[in-house]
Amino acid sequence: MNKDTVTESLPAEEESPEVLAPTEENYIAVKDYNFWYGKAKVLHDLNMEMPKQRVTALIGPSGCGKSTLLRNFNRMNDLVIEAHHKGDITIGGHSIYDPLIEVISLRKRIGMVFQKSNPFPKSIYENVVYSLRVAGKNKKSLLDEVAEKSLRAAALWDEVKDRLGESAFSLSGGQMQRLCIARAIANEPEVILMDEPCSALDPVATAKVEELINELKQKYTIVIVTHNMQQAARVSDKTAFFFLGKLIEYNDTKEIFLNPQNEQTEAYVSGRFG
Amino acid sequence: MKDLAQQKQVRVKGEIAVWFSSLGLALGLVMIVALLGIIAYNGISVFWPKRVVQLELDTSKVEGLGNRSAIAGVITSQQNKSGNKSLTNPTEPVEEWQLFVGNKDQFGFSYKYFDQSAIQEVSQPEGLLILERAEYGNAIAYPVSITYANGDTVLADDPHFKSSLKALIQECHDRREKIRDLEYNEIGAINKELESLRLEQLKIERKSELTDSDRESLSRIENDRTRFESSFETLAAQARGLREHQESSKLLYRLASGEEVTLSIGNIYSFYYPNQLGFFGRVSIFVKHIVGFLIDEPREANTEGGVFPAIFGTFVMTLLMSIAVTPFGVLAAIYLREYANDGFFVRSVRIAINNLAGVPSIVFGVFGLGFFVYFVGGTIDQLFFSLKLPTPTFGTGGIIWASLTLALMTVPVVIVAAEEALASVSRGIRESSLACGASKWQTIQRVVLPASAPGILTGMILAMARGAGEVAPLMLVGVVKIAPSLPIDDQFPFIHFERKFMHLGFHIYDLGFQSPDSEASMPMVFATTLLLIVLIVMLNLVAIMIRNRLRRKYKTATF
Amino acid sequence: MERFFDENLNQLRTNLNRMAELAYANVNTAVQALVEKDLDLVKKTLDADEEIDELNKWVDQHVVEHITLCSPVASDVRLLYTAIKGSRDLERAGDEATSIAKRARKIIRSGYSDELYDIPRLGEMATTQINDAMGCFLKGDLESARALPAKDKKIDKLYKKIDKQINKQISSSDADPKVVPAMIDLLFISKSLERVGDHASNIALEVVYYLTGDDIRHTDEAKGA
Repeated sequence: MNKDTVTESLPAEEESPEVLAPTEENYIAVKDYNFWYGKAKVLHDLNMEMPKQRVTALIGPSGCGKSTLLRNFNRMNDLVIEAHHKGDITIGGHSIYDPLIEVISLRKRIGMVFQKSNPFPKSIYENVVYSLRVAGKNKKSLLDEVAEKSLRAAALWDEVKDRLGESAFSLSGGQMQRLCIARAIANEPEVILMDEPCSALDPVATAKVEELINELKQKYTIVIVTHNMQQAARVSDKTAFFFLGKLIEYNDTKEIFLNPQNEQTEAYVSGRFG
Repeated sequence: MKDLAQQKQVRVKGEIAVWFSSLGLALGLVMIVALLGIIAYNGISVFWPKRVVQLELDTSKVEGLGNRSAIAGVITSQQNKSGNKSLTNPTEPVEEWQLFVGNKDQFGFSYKYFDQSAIQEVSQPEGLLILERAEYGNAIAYPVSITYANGDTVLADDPHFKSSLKALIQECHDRREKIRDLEYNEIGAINKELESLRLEQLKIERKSELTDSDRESLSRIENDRTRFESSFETLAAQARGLREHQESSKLLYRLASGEEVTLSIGNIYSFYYPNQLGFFGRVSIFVKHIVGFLIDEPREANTEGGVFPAIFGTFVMTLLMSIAVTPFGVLAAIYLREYANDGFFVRSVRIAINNLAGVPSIVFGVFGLGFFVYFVGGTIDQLFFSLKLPTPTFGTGGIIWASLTLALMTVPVVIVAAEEALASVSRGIRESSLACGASKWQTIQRVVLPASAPGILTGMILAMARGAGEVAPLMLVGVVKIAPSLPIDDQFPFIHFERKFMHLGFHIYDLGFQSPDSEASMPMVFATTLLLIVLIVMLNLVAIMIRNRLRRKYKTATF
Repeated sequence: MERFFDENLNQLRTNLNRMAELAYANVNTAVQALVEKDLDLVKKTLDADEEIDELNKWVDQHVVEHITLCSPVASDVRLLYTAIKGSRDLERAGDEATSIAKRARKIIRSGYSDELYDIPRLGEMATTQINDAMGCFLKGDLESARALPAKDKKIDKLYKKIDKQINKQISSSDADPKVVPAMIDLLFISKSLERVGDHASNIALEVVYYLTGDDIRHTDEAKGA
């Protein structure tokens, strides 16, 4: 993890370590956040707050920075050489760049689901309990319990309970994605990040995942990046529209889709963009 | 109409390219099929019992046979004599036949060419017998009689002749096994004891001062030695007695050319009447020959008998090599692909690895000899086997050094393949693992390696294919013409890494170029070549099957 | 598969039903107020209309939201269309009830106590129509929905009869000039009831559209032929 130290976080440290009291409304808070890949600035002065146990959708055309922002929440971009940032992101009141917090323990608090369902080359069971295994938890009873709970939460239990030992690749595309969701929630994270979780799924599987998102928000704070505006409208409570690395408009989803204040937002959500 | 014409033109243009490229493939295929076909045909036909002919010869036209006017043998080739046109009709080529005439003890050769003009009559007498003998190769002759130790005789036209001969040969075979058991196992065990006594004695004698207990053990050693030596004598005498017994009954046979020869039954391995066999008889002899080839040990400077030690040696060496090369190559590939930052150093290492793959294999042999055998082996000998010096244990060629040398030679193949396999594991799956809170090493170990296992196995298959067929470096690091014992056997510690071994590739080289009688060894060269190819194909097939299983298990997520 | 937005649609159905109940009750109460000369019932009718208007706004708003957020298709779209049109019809029926109530109040205050012709029966027929239309919607009863326009014909006939009677009464020489305004109000009331029947059959047409996707407005079937 030597590359983690490369990340600069000077401005954040210079400021007085004012810990923002986490409230329901600013559970995830992005403050004056800028982000660069090498010399290319991809995020510009972002300020936004995402409420707890709600779904926040990030929308915008390709290359607008929405995925970059999402991947910064669990510091996935640390892996990219020469990535650096200015400003701060707090989750539950704690800065994710706090030098006292290890990246690994941060990632344990934040589950992530990717665009392409990418189960590990293991059995269904081992996929679900992976995050516990890597954390050194190997007690059978605990793993069994977590596996069942996570699979139930991901609405997959009934479909796979008789074949937990089979390879994860024996599942259908939609089941695989739900398996990835089960894997992401096995560790009881606080936040679930979803990077276009349905873009590779058929409508039926998409519908199931959407239902699942709607269920999961009872417990988790969800941030979802999607290219499908109908999906953003259906599943999210708040929607942020990004363009060229800037946050153009951020409001309740209903407002964004019914009565956007910004012309670009209007053009984008009505499909008249560009 | 114009459109159609244009379309046609385009199609034709494309077809030329298709033909051209398919020509390349076809040429390659033809060459490979021809090569395999020749090897397979010649290799398999060695085992097929052919008919034996008897030639009546015009003695004036044949040289080197004295005044023998008849000879029996197996026709091995019929060809036009090159460079020597017939005098009477220069345009007409002279046909000549090559015969395997056997009976090397009588003729001094076993293959002979005859001009067709010298052959007056060709017949296939049913009475001809082929004897597989312990010495001088096969004999082709008419049997006359068997003489038992007590003087009884059975004539060849006796209806019990065949079964009596068979029984006698079986009896001798059993006795031979017994002798072998005596000499190899029991006497071998005593030799081992004697050797350990010698080492013990040496150990005591090397001390500067001898204590009383040392002297005591020296005398005990002396006692033991006399005891072992006496039992050695008894066993040796027993073996000698059995050996003499082998000579007791005799077979008398007459060659087609008239000489009568007496041979003790102990020298006969088997016999058959080639001209009396039906199809199924031939098949059964054919199968017997093949099985013998696969499970017997070689005889007569490797030109007769089987090649089992060579098969076993090749197999064990290839296995050891794979076991050595895979972790080595995979670890190197992991560092190169996963950890090293892509800079000048890494690029030079990659270039070096690729160049390593192009180094002539004999260079690796020399390196193996210098580094593994003399340096590593020598050091091991000095540290652990100093008593046996100057006789080297590990400080000489052995299967472990041969395997390691080949592992070194094939490691670039594994590194390149493993690197590619690692690179093909998608970024998404790595990120998923990291997002689950796994560290980089956990990700590599638990996710990346299993997912790239099929690709790594492909690398291993390539390495095996290259290593199993390699001969040149082995000659320097442990392959021998005839190994007295196998690298794995029932004697403690069961796997003998230091032992020298036989190898099919070297066996081919040895038969083809080092054999005193190249005509006699040619069939064996083909048979062994075929066997080597089959063995490599089988090793590869097994590895491919494992890979396919893994692929099914770990097939990448695509939908 | 049940989707989370199905809850919205169910709520929409419930509220439409509630509107229909209110409209039915209001028209009934208004007619009853006229029959029983009860000013309290008039007041009750007028008060209840507010709720219908609120529900109408609620339905419209939710339909728009649903269209915006849930990208509905197929029967969901037809349902939303039916909801928006049907709620309008119900709201108008509610308005007619208000109008009836107001005219009933005028008649009661004028002290008119003559015959009410067939207005109670007309009222009953009209409210039954609303009830039936809504029943078709809730039960998905296509047969009954298609039969409704024909029943509306009967209401129209009855209305024409009442109209003729009242006209005759007013234009006859022995008409009492004092009761003429009340007679005119009665005429309007019967017209309102006839309109309620029309709204009910509109709803039936929308239900047909909801169930089958066929638009049968302005066809012979719609006219009850």
